[in-house]
Amino acid sequence: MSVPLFGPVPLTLQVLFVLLAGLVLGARLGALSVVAYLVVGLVAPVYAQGTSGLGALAGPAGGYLFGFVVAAYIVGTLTERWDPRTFWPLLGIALAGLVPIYAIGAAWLAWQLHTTALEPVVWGGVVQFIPGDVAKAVLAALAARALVSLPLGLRAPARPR
Amino acid sequence: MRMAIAQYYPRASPIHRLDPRCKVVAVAALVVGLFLRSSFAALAVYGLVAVAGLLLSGVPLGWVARGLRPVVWLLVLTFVVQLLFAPGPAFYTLGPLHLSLRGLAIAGYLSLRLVVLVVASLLLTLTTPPIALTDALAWLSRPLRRLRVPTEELALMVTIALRFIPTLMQEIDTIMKAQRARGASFTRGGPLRRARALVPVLVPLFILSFRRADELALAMEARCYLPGAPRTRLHPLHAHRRDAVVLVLVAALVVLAELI
Repeated sequence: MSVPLFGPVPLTLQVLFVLLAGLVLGARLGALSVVAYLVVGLVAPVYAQGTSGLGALAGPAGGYLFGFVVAAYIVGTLTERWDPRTFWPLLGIALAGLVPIYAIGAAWLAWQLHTTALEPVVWGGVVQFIPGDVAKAVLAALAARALVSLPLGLRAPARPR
Repeated sequence: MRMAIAQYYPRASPIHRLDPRCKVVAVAALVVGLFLRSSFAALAVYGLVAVAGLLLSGVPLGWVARGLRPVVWLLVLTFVVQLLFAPGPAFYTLGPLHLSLRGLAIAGYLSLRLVVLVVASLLLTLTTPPIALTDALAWLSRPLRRLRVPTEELALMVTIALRFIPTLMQEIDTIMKAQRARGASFTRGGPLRRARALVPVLVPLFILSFRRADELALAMEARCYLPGAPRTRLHPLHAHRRDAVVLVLVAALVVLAELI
């Protein structure tokens, strides 16, 4: 899903919601909701820039989509283990969640472009996304911090110290 | 704020009339075929199948081109990678750049393959309503239930998501207007400041979504919804002779493409 917030360039909020899914829902539900998102994308244009379908999943950028599932699972697992409620731990986990997205996304990209040249894949497939994704990780951490402090039944209450 | 949730282009064409399950299988076969064999001849066969389907479907080509726009940067990246970094004799040297002939051929092949791939999968979403497509996917993935994959539940989640995406977009719009009325700005400052400005949008959005989900679950339980129970449909899927014909034809073309 992308929302035209930042002028003409659409800001895709995929990464934001993938990270939030893990931070808020945990490993199992977080990954399941991202799988559901991928299935929705098979029938309706909800991937980045209104793409959809098998073409997007099997195409060069499909690795990022598969990476999202792993990212939500890893973020969810770390969240469940450490139960972070403050900004910096939440941000650290969110940033860790970017790693599988880039790793799987760039590896898939290199495979689909039939190349072993590292520079273009790293620049075109990872580096150009980093500034925006870090901003989204910050946003995810801020939103998650606000959400876990609310009585929504998201997490077990904090243990008394 | 408006959002076209489906790419579906309603029309009474032979492609639209096909059983959605048949279309899913046919397109999946094309996609798998495209990746199994790397040759221009096979690509030509698949390209012709996709173009023939497109012409039969009567979807305006401009509509299709819109679906192709997002892959432009991938095409550019493909050419950059292959032209500048592929090994092989250079046909043109410009300063430190060696444009390789083999790279050009590979880039051409990969780009055409991507275009055929996207057109084939667009053919599916352009000619089938999302709900019919969801039903088809649920039916086709039924064997996965043996592996304890919750296919019916996933189909339900997709149906609910499709129903609620416009609602959520509306909700985001309302929340943003409400926060603007309180003096919030979403366009001021650098990226980090703008990201921070979205927190007061995201938090109410999540709270509203969770509340909506609880209400929906309660409403479904009140109507005795049981996950995984045998279920009938308002619009059952019907396969016809023409679907069988299309499947045989596609199978024959895939075999042809893999052999030549």
